Amino acid sequence: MLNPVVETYSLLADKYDDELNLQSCWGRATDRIQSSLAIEDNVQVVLDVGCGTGRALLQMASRSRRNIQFIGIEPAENMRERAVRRIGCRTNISILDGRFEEIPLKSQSVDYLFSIFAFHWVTDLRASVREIHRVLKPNGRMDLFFIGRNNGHEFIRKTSPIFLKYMGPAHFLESVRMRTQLTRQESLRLFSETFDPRQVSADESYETYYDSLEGHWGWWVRVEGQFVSMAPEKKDACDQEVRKALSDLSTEKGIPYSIHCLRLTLRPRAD
Amino acid sequence: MNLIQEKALVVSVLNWIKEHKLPGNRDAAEITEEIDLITDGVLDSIGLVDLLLFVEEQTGRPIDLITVEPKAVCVVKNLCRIALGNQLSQSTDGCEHAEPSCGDLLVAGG
Repeated sequence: MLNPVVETYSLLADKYDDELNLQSCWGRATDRIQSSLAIEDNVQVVLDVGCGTGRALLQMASRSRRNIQFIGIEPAENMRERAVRRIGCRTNISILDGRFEEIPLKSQSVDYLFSIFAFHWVTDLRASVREIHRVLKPNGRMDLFFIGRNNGHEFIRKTSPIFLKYMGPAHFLESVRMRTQLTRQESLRLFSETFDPRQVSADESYETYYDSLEGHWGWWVRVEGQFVSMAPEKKDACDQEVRKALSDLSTEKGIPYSIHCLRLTLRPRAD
Repeated sequence: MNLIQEKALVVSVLNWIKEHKLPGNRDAAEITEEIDLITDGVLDSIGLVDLLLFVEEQTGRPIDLITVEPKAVCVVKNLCRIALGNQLSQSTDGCEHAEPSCGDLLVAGG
Protein backbone atom coordinates (compact mmCIF):
# COMPACT_ATOMS: atom_id res chain seq x y z
CA MET A 1 0.00 0.00 0.00
CA LEU A 2 1.27 3.46 -0.86
CA ASN A 3 2.30 5.68 2.00
CA PRO A 4 1.00 9.20 1.23
CA VAL A 5 3.82 10.84 3.16
CA VAL A 6 6.47 8.96 1.21
CA GLU A 7 4.68 9.55 -2.09
CA THR A 8 4.41 13.26 -1.43
CA TYR A 9 8.05 13.57 -0.39
CA SER A 10 8.89 11.92 -3.69
CA LEU A 11 6.65 14.24 -5.69
CA LEU A 12 8.13 17.31 -4.01
CA ALA A 13 11.74 16.14 -4.02
CA ASP A 14 12.84 18.88 -6.41
CA LYS A 15 11.69 21.50 -3.89
CA TYR A 16 13.31 19.84 -0.92
CA ASP A 17 16.71 21.47 -1.38
CA ASP A 18 15.27 24.92 -2.03
CA GLU A 19 16.99 27.62 -0.02
CA LEU A 20 13.73 28.45 1.75
CA ASN A 21 13.57 24.93 3.15
CA LEU A 22 17.29 24.75 3.90
CA GLN A 23 17.25 28.11 5.69
CA SER A 24 14.03 27.32 7.54
CA CYS A 25 13.86 26.26 11.17
CA TRP A 26 13.96 22.62 10.04
CA GLY A 27 16.94 23.16 7.77
CA ARG A 28 18.84 24.96 10.52
CA ALA A 29 17.92 22.38 13.16
CA THR A 30 19.02 19.58 10.84
CA ASP A 31 22.37 21.27 10.18
CA ARG A 32 22.97 21.79 13.87
CA ILE A 33 22.24 18.16 14.67
CA GLN A 34 24.33 16.88 11.80
CA SER A 35 27.36 18.91 12.80
CA SER A 36 27.07 17.65 16.39
CA LEU A 37 27.36 13.99 15.41
CA ALA A 38 30.69 12.28 15.85
CA ILE A 39 31.87 8.95 14.49
CA GLU A 40 33.97 6.81 16.78
CA ASP A 41 37.35 5.51 15.65
CA ASN A 42 36.37 1.85 15.37
CA VAL A 43 33.32 2.42 13.19
CA GLN A 44 33.21 0.74 9.78
CA VAL A 45 29.60 1.02 8.65
CA VAL A 46 27.37 4.08 9.17
CA LEU A 47 23.67 4.05 8.33
CA ASP A 48 21.40 7.08 7.86
CA VAL A 49 17.74 6.03 7.87
CA GLY A 50 15.49 8.43 5.99
CA CYS A 51 18.46 10.13 4.36
CA GLY A 52 16.32 12.28 2.07
CA THR A 53 18.44 13.88 -0.63
CA GLY A 54 21.61 12.72 1.10
CA ARG A 55 22.73 16.10 2.45
CA ALA A 56 23.63 15.05 5.99
CA LEU A 57 25.09 11.75 4.81
CA LEU A 58 27.45 13.46 2.39
CA GLN A 59 28.49 16.03 4.97
CA MET A 60 29.19 13.27 7.49
CA ALA A 61 31.19 11.32 4.92
CA SER A 62 33.15 14.40 3.89
CA ARG A 63 34.53 14.89 7.39
CA SER A 64 35.18 11.20 8.13
CA ARG A 65 37.78 8.59 7.28
CA ARG A 66 37.53 7.30 3.72
CA ASN A 67 37.50 3.66 4.77
CA ILE A 68 34.12 4.04 6.47
CA GLN A 69 31.17 2.72 4.47
CA PHE A 70 28.20 5.13 4.51
CA ILE A 71 24.74 3.87 3.63
CA GLY A 72 21.63 5.97 3.25
CA ILE A 73 18.20 4.46 3.00
CA GLU A 74 15.21 6.42 1.80
CA PRO A 75 11.73 5.26 0.79
CA ALA A 76 10.86 8.21 -1.50
CA GLU A 77 12.12 7.37 -4.98
CA ASN A 78 12.80 10.89 -6.23
CA MET A 79 14.55 11.87 -3.01
CA ARG A 80 16.72 8.79 -3.44
CA GLU A 81 17.56 9.76 -7.00
CA ARG A 82 18.67 13.19 -5.86
CA ALA A 83 20.78 11.58 -3.15
CA VAL A 84 22.46 9.34 -5.71
CA ARG A 85 23.24 12.36 -7.89
CA ARG A 86 24.55 14.25 -4.88
CA ILE A 87 27.07 11.61 -3.84
CA GLY A 88 28.38 11.32 -7.42
CA CYS A 89 31.27 8.93 -7.81
CA ARG A 90 32.09 8.49 -4.12
CA THR A 91 32.49 4.76 -3.73
CA ASN A 92 32.16 4.65 0.04
CA ILE A 93 28.58 5.97 0.00
CA SER A 94 25.56 4.03 -1.21
CA ILE A 95 21.87 4.87 -1.31
CA LEU A 96 19.23 2.16 -0.97
CA ASP A 97 15.47 1.89 -1.02
CA GLY A 98 14.22 1.17 2.48
CA ARG A 99 12.56 2.46 5.60
CA PHE A 100 12.71 1.94 9.34
CA GLU A 101 10.23 -0.93 9.18
CA GLU A 102 12.25 -2.69 6.48
CA ILE A 103 15.98 -2.01 6.40
CA PRO A 104 17.62 -3.79 3.44
CA LEU A 105 20.78 -4.77 5.30
CA LYS A 106 22.14 -7.92 6.91
CA SER A 107 21.65 -8.51 10.61
CA GLN A 108 24.35 -7.08 12.87
CA SER A 109 26.02 -5.20 10.04
CA VAL A 110 25.87 -1.57 11.22
CA ASP A 111 28.23 0.10 13.70
CA TYR A 112 26.51 3.45 13.88
CA LEU A 113 22.95 4.33 12.93
CA PHE A 114 21.67 7.88 12.86
CA SER A 115 18.51 9.51 11.63
CA ILE A 116 17.43 13.14 11.59
CA PHE A 117 13.73 14.02 11.70
CA ALA A 118 12.46 10.83 10.06
CA PHE A 119 11.46 8.44 12.85
CA HIS A 120 8.18 10.25 13.57
CA TRP A 121 6.92 9.14 10.13
CA VAL A 122 7.15 5.40 10.86
CA THR A 123 3.97 3.41 10.39
CA ASP A 124 4.84 0.71 12.92
CA LEU A 125 6.85 1.81 15.94
CA ARG A 126 7.66 -1.59 17.41
CA ALA A 127 8.53 -3.18 14.06
CA SER A 128 10.86 -0.26 13.41
CA VAL A 129 12.65 -0.63 16.73
CA ARG A 130 13.02 -4.38 16.18
CA GLU A 131 14.50 -3.70 12.73
CA ILE A 132 16.99 -1.19 14.12
CA HIS A 133 17.96 -3.78 16.74
CA ARG A 134 18.40 -6.43 14.05
CA VAL A 135 20.81 -4.45 11.85
CA LEU A 136 22.92 -2.94 14.62
CA LYS A 137 26.00 -4.81 15.76
CA PRO A 138 25.91 -5.92 19.42
CA ASN A 139 28.07 -2.96 20.40
CA GLY A 140 26.44 -0.66 17.87
CA ARG A 141 25.63 2.97 18.56
CA MET A 142 22.67 5.01 17.57
CA ASP A 143 21.44 8.61 17.57
CA LEU A 144 17.84 9.12 16.52
CA PHE A 145 16.45 12.64 16.35
CA PHE A 146 12.73 13.06 15.91
CA ILE A 147 9.94 15.39 16.86
CA GLY A 148 8.32 15.10 20.27
CA ARG A 149 4.80 15.37 21.58
CA ASN A 150 4.79 19.16 21.88
CA ASN A 151 6.35 19.97 18.56
CA GLY A 152 4.98 22.98 16.70
CA HIS A 153 2.33 23.62 19.31
CA GLU A 154 1.83 27.23 18.15
CA PHE A 155 1.00 26.15 14.61
CA ILE A 156 -1.05 23.14 15.64
CA ARG A 157 -3.35 25.18 17.84
CA LYS A 158 -3.87 27.77 15.13
CA THR A 159 -4.29 25.44 12.18
CA SER A 160 -6.21 22.48 13.62
CA PRO A 161 -9.64 24.14 13.46
CA ILE A 162 -8.97 25.08 9.85
CA PHE A 163 -7.77 21.66 8.76
CA LEU A 164 -10.64 20.07 10.63
CA LYS A 165 -13.11 22.26 8.79
CA TYR A 166 -11.65 21.63 5.33
CA MET A 167 -10.76 17.96 5.72
CA GLY A 168 -13.59 16.75 7.88
CA PRO A 169 -12.98 14.73 11.07
CA ALA A 170 -12.13 11.41 9.42
CA HIS A 171 -9.45 12.71 7.05
CA PHE A 172 -8.14 15.21 9.57
CA LEU A 173 -7.59 12.59 12.25
CA GLU A 174 -6.16 10.20 9.67
CA SER A 175 -3.63 12.88 8.74
CA VAL A 176 -2.73 13.45 12.40
CA ARG A 177 -2.11 9.72 12.82
CA MET A 178 0.41 9.76 9.96
CA ARG A 179 3.01 11.14 12.33
CA THR A 180 3.88 9.83 15.75
CA GLN A 181 4.70 12.37 18.42
CA LEU A 182 5.98 10.63 21.51
CA THR A 183 6.90 12.07 24.85
CA ARG A 184 10.44 11.52 26.12
CA GLN A 185 9.18 8.88 28.54
CA GLU A 186 7.19 7.07 25.85
CA SER A 187 10.17 6.92 23.52
CA LEU A 188 12.43 5.67 26.30
CA ARG A 189 9.90 2.97 27.21
CA LEU A 190 9.51 1.96 23.57
CA PHE A 191 13.22 1.41 22.95
CA SER A 192 13.76 -0.19 26.34
CA GLU A 193 11.37 -2.97 25.32
CA THR A 194 13.84 -4.16 22.70
CA PHE A 195 17.23 -2.83 23.77
CA ASP A 196 19.03 -3.15 27.07
CA PRO A 197 17.50 -0.25 29.04
CA ARG A 198 20.90 0.47 30.55
CA GLN A 199 22.19 1.34 27.05
CA VAL A 200 19.32 3.58 26.07
CA SER A 201 18.85 7.22 26.97
CA ALA A 202 16.44 9.88 25.80
CA ASP A 203 16.93 13.63 25.89
CA GLU A 204 14.65 16.38 24.78
CA SER A 205 15.08 19.98 23.75
CA TYR A 206 12.84 22.89 22.90
CA GLU A 207 13.97 25.54 20.50
CA THR A 208 11.72 28.35 19.27
CA TYR A 209 12.51 29.66 15.80
CA TYR A 210 11.12 32.95 14.53
CA ASP A 211 10.61 33.49 10.85
CA SER A 212 8.44 35.30 8.32
CA LEU A 213 5.34 33.65 6.92
CA GLU A 214 7.16 32.91 3.66
CA GLY A 215 10.09 31.53 5.63
CA HIS A 216 7.85 29.06 7.40
CA TRP A 217 5.93 28.30 4.23
CA GLY A 218 9.20 27.17 2.71
CA TRP A 219 9.23 24.05 4.85
CA TRP A 220 5.58 23.23 4.26
CA VAL A 221 6.96 20.76 1.70
CA ARG A 222 7.81 18.58 4.71
CA VAL A 223 4.22 18.16 5.83
CA GLU A 224 2.26 18.28 2.58
CA GLY A 225 1.89 14.51 2.60
CA GLN A 226 -0.56 14.80 5.44
CA PHE A 227 -2.97 16.85 3.39
CA VAL A 228 -3.25 14.78 0.23
CA SER A 229 -6.73 13.63 1.12
CA MET A 230 -8.00 17.18 0.86
CA ALA A 231 -9.96 17.90 -2.31
CA PRO A 232 -7.82 20.07 -4.63
CA GLU A 233 -10.59 22.65 -4.97
CA LYS A 234 -10.53 23.16 -1.21
CA LYS A 235 -6.75 23.27 -0.94
CA ASP A 236 -6.27 26.88 -2.04
CA ALA A 237 -8.94 28.20 0.27
CA CYS A 238 -7.53 26.15 3.12
CA ASP A 239 -4.00 27.39 2.43
CA GLN A 240 -5.23 30.97 2.51
CA GLU A 241 -6.90 30.51 5.87
CA VAL A 242 -3.84 28.75 7.27
CA ARG A 243 -1.58 31.56 6.10
CA LYS A 244 -3.88 34.12 7.69
CA ALA A 245 -3.93 32.16 10.96
CA LEU A 246 -0.14 31.86 11.02
CA SER A 247 0.22 35.59 10.32
CA ASP A 248 -1.87 36.22 13.42
CA LEU A 249 0.94 34.61 15.44
CA SER A 250 3.36 37.37 14.44
CA THR A 251 5.45 38.98 17.12
CA GLU A 252 8.23 41.56 16.91
CA LYS A 253 10.68 38.72 16.37
CA GLY A 254 8.59 37.04 13.70
CA ILE A 255 6.24 34.05 13.69
CA PRO A 256 7.30 31.50 16.32
CA TYR A 257 7.59 27.78 15.77
CA SER A 258 8.92 25.59 18.57
CA ILE A 259 10.70 22.40 17.66
CA HIS A 260 10.40 19.79 20.39
CA CYS A 261 13.24 17.45 19.52
CA LEU A 262 13.78 14.05 21.08
CA ARG A 263 17.19 12.42 20.92
CA LEU A 264 17.21 8.71 21.49
CA THR A 265 20.72 7.46 22.10
CA LEU A 266 22.12 3.96 22.27
CA ARG A 267 25.61 3.49 23.66
CA PRO A 268 27.35 0.23 24.59
CA ARG A 269 28.08 -0.26 28.26
CA ALA A 270 31.68 -0.22 29.32
CA ASP A 271 31.36 -3.53 31.16
CA MET B 1 -31.64 7.67 23.87
CA ASN B 2 -30.12 6.39 27.09
CA LEU B 3 -29.61 9.66 28.97
CA ILE B 4 -28.09 8.10 32.07
CA GLN B 5 -25.48 6.31 30.01
CA GLU B 6 -24.79 9.47 28.04
CA LYS B 7 -24.43 11.63 31.14
CA ALA B 8 -22.01 9.15 32.67
CA LEU B 9 -19.94 9.19 29.51
CA VAL B 10 -19.90 13.00 29.47
CA VAL B 11 -18.57 13.06 33.04
CA SER B 12 -15.95 10.47 32.24
CA VAL B 13 -14.85 12.33 29.10
CA LEU B 14 -14.67 15.68 30.89
CA ASN B 15 -12.48 14.15 33.57
CA TRP B 16 -10.20 12.70 30.92
CA ILE B 17 -9.94 16.08 29.20
CA LYS B 18 -9.12 17.89 32.43
CA GLU B 19 -6.32 15.42 32.99
CA HIS B 20 -4.94 15.64 29.45
CA LYS B 21 -5.66 19.24 28.46
CA LEU B 22 -3.02 21.52 27.06
CA PRO B 23 -1.42 23.92 29.49
CA GLY B 24 -2.75 27.47 29.52
CA ASN B 25 -5.89 28.85 27.94
CA ARG B 26 -8.64 27.29 30.03
CA ASP B 27 -8.75 26.28 33.67
CA ALA B 28 -10.16 22.82 34.35
CA ALA B 29 -13.23 24.43 35.93
CA GLU B 30 -14.03 26.20 32.65
CA ILE B 31 -14.10 23.02 30.62
CA THR B 32 -17.69 22.09 29.98
CA GLU B 33 -19.55 19.77 27.63
CA GLU B 34 -20.47 22.76 25.45
CA ILE B 35 -17.11 24.27 24.51
CA ASP B 36 -15.21 23.55 21.30
CA LEU B 37 -12.11 21.71 22.45
CA ILE B 38 -10.03 22.56 19.40
CA THR B 39 -11.05 26.17 18.79
CA ASP B 40 -10.74 26.94 22.49
CA GLY B 41 -7.27 25.39 22.60
CA VAL B 42 -8.12 22.79 25.25
CA LEU B 43 -6.77 19.93 23.15
CA ASP B 44 -4.54 19.85 20.10
CA SER B 45 -5.00 17.49 17.18
CA ILE B 46 -3.02 14.70 18.83
CA GLY B 47 -5.04 15.15 22.00
CA LEU B 48 -8.22 14.82 19.96
CA VAL B 49 -7.01 11.53 18.50
CA ASP B 50 -6.25 10.30 22.03
CA LEU B 51 -9.66 11.47 23.23
CA LEU B 52 -11.47 9.54 20.49
CA LEU B 53 -9.53 6.42 21.40
CA PHE B 54 -10.55 6.92 25.02
CA VAL B 55 -14.21 7.35 24.08
CA GLU B 56 -14.11 4.24 21.89
CA GLU B 57 -12.61 2.30 24.78
CA GLN B 58 -15.38 3.52 27.07
CA THR B 59 -18.20 2.62 24.72
CA GLY B 60 -16.62 -0.47 23.19
CA ARG B 61 -17.60 0.66 19.71
CA PRO B 62 -15.85 2.60 16.96
CA ILE B 63 -16.96 6.13 16.17
CA ASP B 64 -18.00 6.62 12.58
CA LEU B 65 -16.14 9.76 11.60
CA ILE B 66 -16.98 9.69 7.93
CA THR B 67 -20.41 11.24 8.19
CA VAL B 68 -20.00 13.52 11.19
CA GLU B 69 -19.47 17.26 11.14
CA PRO B 70 -16.29 18.77 12.63
CA LYS B 71 -18.34 20.40 15.38
CA ALA B 72 -19.63 17.01 16.43
CA VAL B 73 -16.26 15.62 17.48
CA CYS B 74 -14.95 18.77 19.13
CA VAL B 75 -17.81 19.33 21.56
CA VAL B 76 -18.10 16.79 24.36
CA LYS B 77 -21.89 16.79 24.42
CA ASN B 78 -22.10 15.98 20.71
CA LEU B 79 -19.21 13.56 20.74
CA CYS B 80 -20.75 11.47 23.48
CA ARG B 81 -24.08 11.28 21.66
CA ILE B 82 -22.42 10.14 18.47
CA ALA B 83 -20.21 7.68 20.32
CA LEU B 84 -23.31 6.07 21.82
CA GLY B 85 -25.10 6.02 18.50
CA ASN B 86 -27.62 8.58 19.68
CA GLN B 87 -29.07 11.29 17.46
CA LEU B 88 -27.22 14.55 17.64
CA SER B 89 -30.17 16.84 18.15
CA GLN B 90 -33.73 16.02 19.03
CA SER B 91 -36.35 18.61 19.81
CA THR B 92 -39.26 18.28 22.18
CA ASP B 93 -41.69 17.83 19.29
CA GLY B 94 -39.99 14.57 18.53
CA CYS B 95 -38.60 15.72 15.21
CA GLU B 96 -34.91 15.41 14.59
CA HIS B 97 -33.07 18.56 13.63
CA ALA B 98 -29.55 18.59 12.31
CA GLU B 99 -26.97 20.46 14.33
CA PRO B 100 -25.52 23.41 12.45
CA SER B 101 -22.20 22.42 10.92
CA CYS B 102 -18.95 24.20 11.61
CA GLY B 103 -19.17 25.59 8.06
CA ASP B 104 -22.71 26.89 8.68
CA LEU B 105 -21.54 28.63 11.82
CA LEU B 106 -18.68 30.26 10.02
CA VAL B 107 -20.86 31.44 7.19
CA ALA B 108 -23.21 32.88 9.78
CA GLY B 109 -20.28 34.81 11.21
CA GLY B 110 -19.91 32.67 14.33
